[in-house]
Amino acid sequence: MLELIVNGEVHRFDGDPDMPLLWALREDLKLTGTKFGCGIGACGACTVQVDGVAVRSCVLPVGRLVGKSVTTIEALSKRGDHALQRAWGEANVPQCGYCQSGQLMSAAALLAVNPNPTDEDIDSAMAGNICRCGTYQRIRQAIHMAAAQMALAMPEEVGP
Amino acid sequence: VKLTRRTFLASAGVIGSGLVLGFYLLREEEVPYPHKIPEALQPNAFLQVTPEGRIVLQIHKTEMGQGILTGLVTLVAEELNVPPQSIETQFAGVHPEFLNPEFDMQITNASSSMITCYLPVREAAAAVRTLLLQAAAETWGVGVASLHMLDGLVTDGEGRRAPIGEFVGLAATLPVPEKVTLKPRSEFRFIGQFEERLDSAAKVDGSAVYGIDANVPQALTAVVVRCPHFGGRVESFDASAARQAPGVVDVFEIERGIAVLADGYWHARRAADRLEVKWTADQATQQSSATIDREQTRLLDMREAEDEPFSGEDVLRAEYMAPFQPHACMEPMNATVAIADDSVDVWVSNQAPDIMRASVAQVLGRRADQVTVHGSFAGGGFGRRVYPFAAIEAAVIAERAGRPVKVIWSREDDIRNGPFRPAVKCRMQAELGGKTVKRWRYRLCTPSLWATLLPGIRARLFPAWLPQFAFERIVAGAARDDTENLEGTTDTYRLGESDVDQVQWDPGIPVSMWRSVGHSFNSFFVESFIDEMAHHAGDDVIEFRRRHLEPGSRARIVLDRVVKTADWGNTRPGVFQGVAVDAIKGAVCAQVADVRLEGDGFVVERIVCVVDPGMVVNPDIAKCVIESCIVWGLTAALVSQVTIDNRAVVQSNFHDFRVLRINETPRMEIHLIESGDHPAGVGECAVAPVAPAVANAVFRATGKRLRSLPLRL
Repeated sequence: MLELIVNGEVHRFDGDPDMPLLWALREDLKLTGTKFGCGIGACGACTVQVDGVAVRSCVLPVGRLVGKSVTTIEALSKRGDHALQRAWGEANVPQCGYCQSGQLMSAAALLAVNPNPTDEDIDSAMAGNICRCGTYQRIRQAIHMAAAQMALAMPEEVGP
Repeated sequence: VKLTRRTFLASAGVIGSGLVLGFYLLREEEVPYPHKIPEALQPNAFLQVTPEGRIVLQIHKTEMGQGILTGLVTLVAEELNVPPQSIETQFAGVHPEFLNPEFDMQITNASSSMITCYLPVREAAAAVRTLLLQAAAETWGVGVASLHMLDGLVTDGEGRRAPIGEFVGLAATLPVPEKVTLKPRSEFRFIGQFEERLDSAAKVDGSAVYGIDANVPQALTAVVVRCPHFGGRVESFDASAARQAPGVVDVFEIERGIAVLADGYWHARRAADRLEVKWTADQATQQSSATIDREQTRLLDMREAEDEPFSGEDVLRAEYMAPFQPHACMEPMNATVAIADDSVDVWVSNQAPDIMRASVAQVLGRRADQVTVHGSFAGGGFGRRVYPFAAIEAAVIAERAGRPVKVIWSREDDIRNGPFRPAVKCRMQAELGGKTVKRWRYRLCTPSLWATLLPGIRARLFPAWLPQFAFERIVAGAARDDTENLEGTTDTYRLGESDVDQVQWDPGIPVSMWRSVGHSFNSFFVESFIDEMAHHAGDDVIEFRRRHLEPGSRARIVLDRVVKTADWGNTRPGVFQGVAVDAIKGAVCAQVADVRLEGDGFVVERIVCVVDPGMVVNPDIAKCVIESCIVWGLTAALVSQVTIDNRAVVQSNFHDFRVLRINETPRMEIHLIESGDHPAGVGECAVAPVAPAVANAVFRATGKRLRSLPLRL
């Protein structure tokens, strides 16, 4: 029995501590916004944040999460209005949409540490997230849009 | 060529026989409209208006990224004169009114949705508008011509207004009009102007439901361990270790392998790793990429020996090839089936709900109308989700388990089992007279796509009682008439006397339609060879192309535009350009690739793309889809392929089956030229020209002609 903190709530998990977080989220907690794509941490569809850092939940054993805080796409914002989510909509980023939860969680982790990323910063932070629809150009554009929006909203927090 | 049941029957020569003709003429009985809301006006299967004024549209096409949900809503919004955001949508079930007229099935494929829906869906909405206005005219005792519908209200010229819902009751009693008047293009508010995407909100907060998200009480999760070698079967297996693994409920053999059932995916997968299976080997498919290549060469040699040789003074020859490609949809294949006494429920991301329904019904011995296929978003399709394999597996396993079952394919299952875009080899010859092609010959060695498609969708097209010999005759006939593989060879250029043919050979590797089908390789071959011919003739590659395109043709217009837009010939030092043109599904596309050499290889810096899509419903979504086509085509041009060794696929997951990532994606500039008054299909329009545009640029940079995909220096 272990305690999992997911989206601010404590959940008791009495399954196998070796089980990857992805399946605990999808099957036990019914948080299906986090997607299965490859099972080896190579596509990014399963990306969530653990203590604010983007991680691949398909290869992360639940047992390693004791005392850590997991955030999934369902809690990126309360009303789906994180600057990135709004930018994703404005830039018409999603196509099939299946990879976009993971894309957004990676992008949010990037902006949290780098509020004004260059194209190269974006490419290196997002290269682990595959999109077969090829929405990459608009992902880049939307991250820039969101960064600009966040800078406007919180001018005092903008770095040099 | 239309891929209809009639085509197959005709091509097999059985359409005149009483046996099959009788079947063909069977009419679907009256089927109730889907998702009927009590009290609502529902004059057709598409649309309902409730007394409260809700407008509910059935989305009968699969939304798999191409934006058809938004497109269909936009068509309805235009005819009902309401904002698209005010229309509710539901994924439709199966209904005869939803058949794709190009394919005789309820199928979302071949860029056909907007081509085939543009008028019928507007007509369905116009019928609703006509009925509501007639009911309002009757209620108010005025002429219909004096009434107007706007943003959910009916108004007359004298200040009277009422919500449309008030007229639903009366409208439902009026006869459905046989002919309706569509809104003229000059009055459009949304078509061609509306640029939002309506399913974005659900796709950025995790709430969009895909087939794999089906949450069915009591469902077990199953994985299927399949033979790693094509054509192999289970000889024997030992499940004792797997059965003892945590969470395992059952292990048994099914037709396609060994099913492992557990309380969740991870337990099922872990147990599957402990399974010991001995597989038979089918010697007929003892293939590797090398043996396939050798056999294709041999067959092309044989064909060449039969062909009368080109004997002119100026003859150019070249051989090209392209490898197997999996679709690798981001959502792995999956299906959930729940079986009750008199009903079966199926949740499966798919491109053809009636193929799913018929296949599940047949394997369970049920009637099709007992099977409900629940709609959902699909995490990519690209031609792969036409096939019912996962749904059949889930049905068979659920029946045996006596509980609902969700089958999930691993990524390894997906990459290794296909079906794939075929590996093909092509030989071209051209006889030139100065700077003009006098005649050319094209010989493609390929398996038939129809012949491999038909067994997969047999349950939908043919009755269970159709004898095997008759089915085989149909398949043989379909293969004989299969021109799908040659699409993209003669659609664009006029190259004198043209002699295009295929040498069919099936190496025993399952193949299928794959985004842009024949164009995906033929356009690479033809457009590279055009470049070769221009170079051979000492001509400018643009002038050579223009000379072989009809003056004033859409292809020549997009070519001229892309040359101008890409500032052809004025690149900065070290950057080289290549060009290619393709015409597919009524759309015409030209691209210029900017390439620079780096290290031992090259980098694609920019793709400039001009598309004439006829007309567009949602301009920005059209551009999104075109960008998608380019990344898809560039992935196959630069990094992705599946190779065969020892009768098995070598690659297995995204670490060794490479797809383009964000850091490898060039800048894309998309331009649309609307030349008509009906939309073409854009879902595949820009896939094919990418590879030849890049290869032609690499040739200009290096003098080296790359004749095989993926392109490697």
